[in-house]
Amino acid sequence: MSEWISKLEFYLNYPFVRYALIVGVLISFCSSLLGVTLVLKRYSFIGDGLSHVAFGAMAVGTVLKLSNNMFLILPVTVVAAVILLKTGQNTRLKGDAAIAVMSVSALAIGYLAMNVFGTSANVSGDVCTTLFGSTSILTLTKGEVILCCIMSLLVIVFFVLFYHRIFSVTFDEKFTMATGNNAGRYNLVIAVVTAIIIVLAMNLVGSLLITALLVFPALSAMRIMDSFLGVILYSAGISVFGTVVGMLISVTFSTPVGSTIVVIYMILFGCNCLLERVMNR
Amino acid sequence: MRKLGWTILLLSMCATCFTGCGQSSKAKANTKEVKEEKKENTEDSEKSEAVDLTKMGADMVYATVYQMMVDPDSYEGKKVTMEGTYSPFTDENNGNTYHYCVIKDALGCCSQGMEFLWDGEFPKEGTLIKVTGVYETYKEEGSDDLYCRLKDATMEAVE
Repeated sequence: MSEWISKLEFYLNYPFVRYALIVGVLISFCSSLLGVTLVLKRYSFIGDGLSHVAFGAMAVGTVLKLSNNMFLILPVTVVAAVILLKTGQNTRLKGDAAIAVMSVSALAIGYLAMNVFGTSANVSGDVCTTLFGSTSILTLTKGEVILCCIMSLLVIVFFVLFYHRIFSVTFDEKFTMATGNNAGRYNLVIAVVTAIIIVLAMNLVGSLLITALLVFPALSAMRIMDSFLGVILYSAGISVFGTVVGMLISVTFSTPVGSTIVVIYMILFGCNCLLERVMNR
Repeated sequence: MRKLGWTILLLSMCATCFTGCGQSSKAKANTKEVKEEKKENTEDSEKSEAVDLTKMGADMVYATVYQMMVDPDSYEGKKVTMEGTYSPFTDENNGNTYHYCVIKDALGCCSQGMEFLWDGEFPKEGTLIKVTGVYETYKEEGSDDLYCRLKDATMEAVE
């Protein structure tokens, strides 16, 4: 045990490990806030869909040799999020079908573009890193950490300032509109925030596992808590705890970061289910 | 008041999206943030002048070697010890053979390689080796690309 602790202390001397922990905590905190709303609005798989769109945009950006892929990834993902979340109920292509169409199309286009036009010597490796984020979180620069901090702060400020509106839009959009609030505007901002979180979270857990970051903390919290605020706070706590533990285990025992975090979330979800039964809820 | 809140929030998000357009890794070498990062890394590195990758797990090894590629100034002149598989590469353009110690990440799908200079006999390709050398960066004749390698290296096969 002391050997592992001294190993961890040794690793924490490296700035990139500290950056990874800071970014991991912020991303998991923001994802948990968003995850509660998305789960309740039956959009659990939107993380998957948008992350595949981001992957496709990243692949196209790489092929086009953009100096920074964020030029393309963020706007494309935001547009996709707005299309998926804001179109509402009166569309021909409903929620899950729209996510499926967009998700697989972007994934296929991205992988095709990388294979046909890419110049990387290791296409499979690049794709693998993006999909699973095995060590991406350990390769962040100080600038990327600062950017992540700013974006996370904006997300948190948004949730704090507009908590009551988010609550009403989540549970009853028609009531929200009936009370004179513009539900469409709040849906639009939720869509933009979702896209930002997805793009940031790709560094932490990779494209394929982002859904876990959004869904598991919210579902775990719903086993125990009754109120919306309680679910959000408990979800944030579980998310941050699971991410920190997952990252420390991953760094100490050399396991893939994303998968380890998701397994920790699974264990926490199982524990909360058991706790729910014990409490006879 | 609510309108003002909305306006400020949306303007902040737009500003953040635009400022999210960072710089290429070449441009970063000339910015203040890299100098600050270098200072931070130097402060940390002063605690230990040697970087022993054999004492780290696979993820940390991969990440540290990545950092060596991305921020070479922070590791210049340091004694580096690493374990990996031996892999030679002959450049058809100039006929030179380069010798690498290659390490893979935890998934085994991605790999990083560190070139090293050694005067002795090289083993078969794919042999597990341990290399110790001094980290340096250099440029090839006629090229502006920056490369890194371990000079004054010692190498031994690991069983």
